[in-house]
Amino acid sequence: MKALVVLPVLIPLATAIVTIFLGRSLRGKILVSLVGGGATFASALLILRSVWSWGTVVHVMGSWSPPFGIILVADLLSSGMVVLSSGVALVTLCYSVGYVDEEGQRLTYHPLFHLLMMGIYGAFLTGDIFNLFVFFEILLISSYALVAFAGEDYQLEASLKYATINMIASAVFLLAVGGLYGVMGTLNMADLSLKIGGLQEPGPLPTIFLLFIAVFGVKASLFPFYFWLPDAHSSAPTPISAILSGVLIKVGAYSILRVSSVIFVPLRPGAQEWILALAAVTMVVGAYGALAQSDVKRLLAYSSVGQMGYIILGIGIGTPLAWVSTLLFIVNHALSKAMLFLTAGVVIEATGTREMGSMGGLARQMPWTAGAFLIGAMGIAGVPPLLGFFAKFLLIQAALEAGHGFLAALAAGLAIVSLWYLFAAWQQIFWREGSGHALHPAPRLMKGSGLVLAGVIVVGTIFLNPLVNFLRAVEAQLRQPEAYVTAVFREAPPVTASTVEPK
Amino acid sequence: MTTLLAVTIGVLFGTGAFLVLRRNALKVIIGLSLISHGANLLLVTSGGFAGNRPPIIGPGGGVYVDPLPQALVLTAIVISFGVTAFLVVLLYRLYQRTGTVDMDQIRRLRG
Amino acid sequence: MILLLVILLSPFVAAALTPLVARVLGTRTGWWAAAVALGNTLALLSLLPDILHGTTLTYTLPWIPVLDANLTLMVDGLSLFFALLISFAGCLIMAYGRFYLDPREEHGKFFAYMLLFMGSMLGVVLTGNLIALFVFWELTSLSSFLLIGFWDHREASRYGATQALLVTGGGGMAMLIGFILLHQVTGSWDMQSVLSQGDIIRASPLYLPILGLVFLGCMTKSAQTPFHFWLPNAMEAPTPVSAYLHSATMVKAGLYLVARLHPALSGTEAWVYLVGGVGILTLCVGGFLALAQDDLKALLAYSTVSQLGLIMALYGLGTREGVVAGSFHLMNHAAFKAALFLCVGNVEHETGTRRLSQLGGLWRAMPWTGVFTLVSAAAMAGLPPFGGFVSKELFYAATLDVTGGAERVLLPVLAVAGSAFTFAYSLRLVYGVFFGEPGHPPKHPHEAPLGMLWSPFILAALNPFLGLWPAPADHFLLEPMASGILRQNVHVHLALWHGFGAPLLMSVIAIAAGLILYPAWLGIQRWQGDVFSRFSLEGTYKGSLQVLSRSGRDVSLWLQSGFLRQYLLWILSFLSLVVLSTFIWNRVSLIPVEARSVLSYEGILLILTVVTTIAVVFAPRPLPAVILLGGVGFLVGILFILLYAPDLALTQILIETVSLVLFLLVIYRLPPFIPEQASRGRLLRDGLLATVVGGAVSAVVLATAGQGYFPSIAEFFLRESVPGGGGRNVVNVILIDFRGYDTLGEVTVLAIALLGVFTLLSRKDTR
Repeated sequence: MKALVVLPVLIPLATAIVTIFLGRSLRGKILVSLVGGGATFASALLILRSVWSWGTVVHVMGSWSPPFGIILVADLLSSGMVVLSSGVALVTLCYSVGYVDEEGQRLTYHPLFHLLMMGIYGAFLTGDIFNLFVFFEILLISSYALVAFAGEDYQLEASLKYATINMIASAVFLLAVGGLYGVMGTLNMADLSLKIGGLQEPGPLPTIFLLFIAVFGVKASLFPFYFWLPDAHSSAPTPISAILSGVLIKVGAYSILRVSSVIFVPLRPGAQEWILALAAVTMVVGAYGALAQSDVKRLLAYSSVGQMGYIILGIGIGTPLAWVSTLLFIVNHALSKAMLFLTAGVVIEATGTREMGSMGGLARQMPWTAGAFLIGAMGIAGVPPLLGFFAKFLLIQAALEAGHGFLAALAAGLAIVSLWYLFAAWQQIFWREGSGHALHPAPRLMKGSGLVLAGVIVVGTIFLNPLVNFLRAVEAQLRQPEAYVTAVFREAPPVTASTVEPK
Repeated sequence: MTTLLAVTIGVLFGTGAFLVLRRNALKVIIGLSLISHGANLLLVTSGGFAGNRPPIIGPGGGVYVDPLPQALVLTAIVISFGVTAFLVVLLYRLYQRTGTVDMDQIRRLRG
Repeated sequence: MILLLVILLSPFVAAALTPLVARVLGTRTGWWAAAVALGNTLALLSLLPDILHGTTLTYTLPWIPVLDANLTLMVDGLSLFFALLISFAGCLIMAYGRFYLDPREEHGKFFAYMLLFMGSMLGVVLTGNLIALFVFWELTSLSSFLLIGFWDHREASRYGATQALLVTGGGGMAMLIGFILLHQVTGSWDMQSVLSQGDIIRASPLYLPILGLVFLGCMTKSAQTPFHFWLPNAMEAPTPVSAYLHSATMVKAGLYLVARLHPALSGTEAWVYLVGGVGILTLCVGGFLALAQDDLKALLAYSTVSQLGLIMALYGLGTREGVVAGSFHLMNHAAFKAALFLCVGNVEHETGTRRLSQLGGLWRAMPWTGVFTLVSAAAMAGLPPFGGFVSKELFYAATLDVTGGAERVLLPVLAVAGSAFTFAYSLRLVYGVFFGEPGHPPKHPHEAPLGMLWSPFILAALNPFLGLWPAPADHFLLEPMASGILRQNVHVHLALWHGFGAPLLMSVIAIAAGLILYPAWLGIQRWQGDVFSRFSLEGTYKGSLQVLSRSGRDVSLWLQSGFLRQYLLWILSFLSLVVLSTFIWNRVSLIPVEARSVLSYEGILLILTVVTTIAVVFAPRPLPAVILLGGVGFLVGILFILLYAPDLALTQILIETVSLVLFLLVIYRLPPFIPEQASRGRLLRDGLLATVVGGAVSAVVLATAGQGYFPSIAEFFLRESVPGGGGRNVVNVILIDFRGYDTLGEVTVLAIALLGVFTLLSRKDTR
C-alpha cells in the first residue's frame, strides 16, 4: 500500500525510458505513452483513495527512516494535486498525439513529456526540501526542452529567458536550502517543522522563509519574477502550454502552501504582508498584460499571471476560507486554463494564425469549440455558476472577513477586467464576419480533449459540494502540521526526539 | 574561514549577477555558471567547518566534517552541469537560426 | 413543492434540448419555446390560491450545503407576480419571435438563448438564497450578452453586448460585496432570515456600504442614471429581445431586488435619498432624452429608463403607498412597453427602418399595429381609461404624501415634469409614425402578418382592462405582491376615478406641459448632447476602457520589454531587498561561526579565486572568458580539497573539464563579443547591484553557515555508514543509499539534458 506512493514517480520514468528505447516506432510510442499516462492517473486515484480512507501515507525510500532517508508523503493536498495534474496530463497527452508532428513524436516528445510530469509529481510528493530542489530541476529542464521543442526562433528565445531566470532561482533555492541546513541541521520537512516549532529566536529564518517564497514565486510567476511566463507559455507547443499553465505553475503555489503550512508555521504572520503585496501587484500586472494582447496564447498566458496572483493572495490572507478559495482557484485554473489552451490550439490549427484579429466568425463552423472556450472564459473570469465563481466569491469573502477591504475590492475590480478581455477575445475569435479563409479542421482527438475538460468543469460545478468538502478537509489537514509530523514519524519514532531541543 | 568563504561566495554571486546583465548571451551563461559555483560552495560552507578530516570512515583520530552538504553539492554540481550544457546548445541553435547572440536583438517576444 | 423546482429548471432543460428540437422544427422552433413558457405560466397560476392565502411556498434543493449556497426556492406574492410576468411575456414574445426572425436565421440558437434567459430570470425572482440569487442574476447578464450580440456580424451589436455585460457585471460585483457584508451582519445567506433582521441591519455600521453596494447592482441592472447608457446600446438586439429582456423583465431585476430587500434596507433617510433620488433623476433624464430620439427603439429605450426611474422612485419613498403605486405601475409598464416594442418591431419589419425621420402616415397601411400603438402609448402617457392613468394618479398621490423639507415641494414638481416628458414623447411616437406626412421608408409598407399581431394585441388589450376593471389585477396580483414586499397584509382598492383632487390637477398640468413640450423636441435635440454627457457615465465607461487598454499596452511593454537584463534587474534587486531589509528589520546577527582559522595557502587560494572570478568580467573575447571560467571551476575544485571534500573535488574537476570542452566547442562557432555599449551610468548601476547581490549572499552565509541551532542529522550518517550502508566513504553512501532519490533525480536531469540537446540538434529547421 505504501509503495503505491512511489508509482507517480516511477511510472512516468519507466514510460519515458520505454518510449526512448522504442526507437522510431510511432504507434508503439503513442500506445506506451498513453498507457503510461493512464496508469499514472489510475495510481494517483488509488493513492488519493487510500489517503482519504487511512490518512497520510508515507513511503520511506530504502530502509532509512526519516529524517535521514528521503520520504515521499501523500497527504490530501499532495495526492489531490497529483490526481488533478495527472488527469490534466492524460487529456493533454491525447491532445498531443493529434497535435505534435510525427517527427517530433518519434523524436523525444513522449519521454520529455513524461519526465516533466515525473518532476511535477515528485515535487508534490516529496517530504524533503533538498529533494524538492531535485524534482524542481527535473521538471524545469524538461520544460525548457519542451518549450523549445519545435525549434522555432521565438521558442528558443523563450526557452533561453525561461531557463536563465529559473537558473538564478535554482541558485537562490540552494542558498535557501544551505541557509536552512546551516541553522537547522536537517532537510526533512517534518523534522524541520518539529524543530522550528521549538525555536525561541528565529534568527535568519524569516529571511530564509521569504527566499523560499521568492523561489517558489518564480515558478508561480509572482511579480517581479513572472517575466518568463508570458514568453514561455505562449511560445511552447500548445499541449505544453496547457501543462505549463494548468499544472506546472501550481507547483509553485503548492510549494508555498507546503512550506508555510508545514515548515515555517510560526513565521507565517511575518511574511504575510510580503505575500499580499506581491500577490496584489501580480494580479494587476497579469490583468494589464492580458488587456494588451492580440495573440490568443499570449493573452491566456498573461491571464495565468493574474490568476496566480489570486491564488497567492488567498494563501497570504491565510484564513481557512481563504485557503479553501485558493485550492478551489487551483482546481478551477488547472481545468479551465488547460482547456482554454487546448481549445485555442484547435482554433489556431483551423485558422493558421494566433492573431485574434485575423480570426472571426468561427462560432458557426465550430460551435462546440466556441462553447468550450466560453466555458473556460467564464471559469477564469469567475462568471457564475461555474467553479471559478465560487473561488472568486470565497476569496472576496475571506478578504472582507479578514479586514482586507482594499484587496477584496481589487479582486472584484480585476475580475471585471478579466471578464472584459476574455469575452472580447471570445467575440473576436468566434463572432464577427468570418475571414473567409478556408479552415483546416483540427484532428478529432484535439477537439475532443478540450471538450472532455469542459465536461469535467461542468460536472465539477454540479458536484461542488463534495469538492468543497474535500477542499475543506485538505485545508483542515494543512492546519495540523503536527499530524503531518506524526504521520511521517509513525514508522520510526523520531530518533530526533532527544535533539528537538535547541542546542 | 567562514568569513573569507562568505566573501568569496559573495564575489561569485556578485560577478555572476553583473555578467547576466550583459548584452552578450554567452556572458549571461558564464554568469550563471559563476552563480552555480557560488551556490555549490555555499552549500559546502553551510555545514560549518567543525571537522578536520574528510568523511571517509577509517582509523585515526580527528573529527569528520559534515558529509551531508557534500552529498548535496555533488547532486547540485551534476544538475547545474546538465542545465548549463543544455543552455549552451540552446544558445548555439539560436545563433545558428538568428545569427545573433546579442540579447538586445533577441527580443522578439515582448509586450 | 417540487413543482417550484420543475418550474425553475424546465427552461434550462428546454434550452439544452432546443438545438435538437430545432433540427426537427426548423423555423417553427419558436412554438416550442413559447409552449415551454406557456406551460410555466399555467404551472405558476396553479400556485396562486396558496399565495392568496398568504402562504410562502418554499423548496430547497441542496447544492453546496457546506457553503450554505443552496437552491432555496421561495415564492410569495412578489416572486409569483414576477415569475408570471416572465413566463407570460416570454410566451407571447417568443411566439412573436418565431415570425419576426428571418427563416434563414439560426432559430435554434436564438430560442435556446431566450429560454436560457427565461430560466435565469425565473431563478432571480424565485430563489430565496442570496448566493443562488446572485448566480442567476449574473446568468441573466450572460444570456443578455449572447442575445444582444445575436447579430454578431454587426460591430454595434458586439459593442452593445460587451457594454451591457461589463456595466451590469461591474454592478454585480459591487452587489456581491454588498451581499457578503450583509451576510457578515446577519450571519445568513437565506433571504427569509435576512429580511427578518431589518433592524439589526439598519443599526449596523455596515448599513450604508451594504445599501450603496447592493443598490449599485440594482442601478446598473435597471439602467438607472448615470448607468442608463447601456440600455439604448442594447437595442441592437433583435426586437423580441428588446421587448423581453430590455423592457419587460431583465431590467426590472433591479426593481425586484429593491422591492425584495425593502423590509431589510428601507426605512432610513439614506434609502429615501438614494433610491428615491436616483429614481426621480432617472425619470427626468430618461424622459428628456427619449423625446429627442430619432430611432424608435432608442426612444423606447430611454422611455424605459424613465419609467423604471419612476418605479424606483416610488419604491424609494419607502411608504406603503409608494410600494403599491410602484408595483401597479410595474404591471402597466410591462403591458404597454412590451406591446410598444412589438409594434415597433412590426413597423421595422414591414418598412425596413426605425427612423422617425423616414416614417409617417402609416395609419392606413398598418391599421392594427397603429391601434395597438395608440392604446399602449396612451397608457404610457397616463391617459384615461387605461391602467397607466391609474398608476400615474397613485404616483402623484404618493409624492404628495411625502413629509419633509425641500423634497415636499421638489418631488411633486419633478413628478409632473417627468410625466410631461412622457406625454410628449408618447405623442411623438404615435403621431410621428402613424400620422402626419407619409415618410419614405426603404420598403413599401403593409400590415404585419397575423402571427406578429397577436402578441401585441394581447399585451395592448391589457391596458384598458387594467384601467377600467382593475379589481382582478388588484386582488390576484397587486395585493399579494405588495404584501410580499412589505411582508404584511396589504389591502388595496384601485379605481379609475379618484374624484377631483390634487393628483388629477397634476395630471392635467402634465398633459398640458407635454403638449407644449412636444413641438419643442427639435430644440431639445440640439442641446441634448451637453446634458446627456453630464448625466451619463458612458463617457467614463469609454474613457476608462481606453485608458485601461492603452496603459495596459504601455505598462506591459515597459515591464515585458524583451530585455532579459531588465527582468533580471527586477529579480536581483528584489531578492537583495528581501534579504537585506529583513536582516536589518529582524536584527539578524552576522557574526559567523569560526570553527577554525584560515591557513595561509587557503587564503591565497581564496584570493586567487576572487581575482579570477572578477577577471572573467574583463575578458575581451569569448575564449579567455571561457578559460577564466574554467579556471574558477578548477580553483573551486581545489578549494573543495581544502574543505575535506575529496569526492567533490574530483567531481568538480571532472565536470569542469567536460564543461570547458563543451564551451570551447561552441564558442568556436559563436561570434566574438559585441561591444557592450553600455553607458557609464548603466555600468555603475549594474556594478552597484552586483555588489549588493554579493553582499546579500555573503550576509546569508555569515548568518547561517554552521550556526547549528540543532545538531545536524549528519551524525547519523557518520555512525551508520559502515554498519548500515556498507561503505566507508560516507558521501558515497549518502548518495547511493541514504538519499538515493536525489541521485536518481540527478541522473534523470542529465538524461533530460541529453534528450533536450538531442532534440535541439536534430530539429534542422523543420517545424
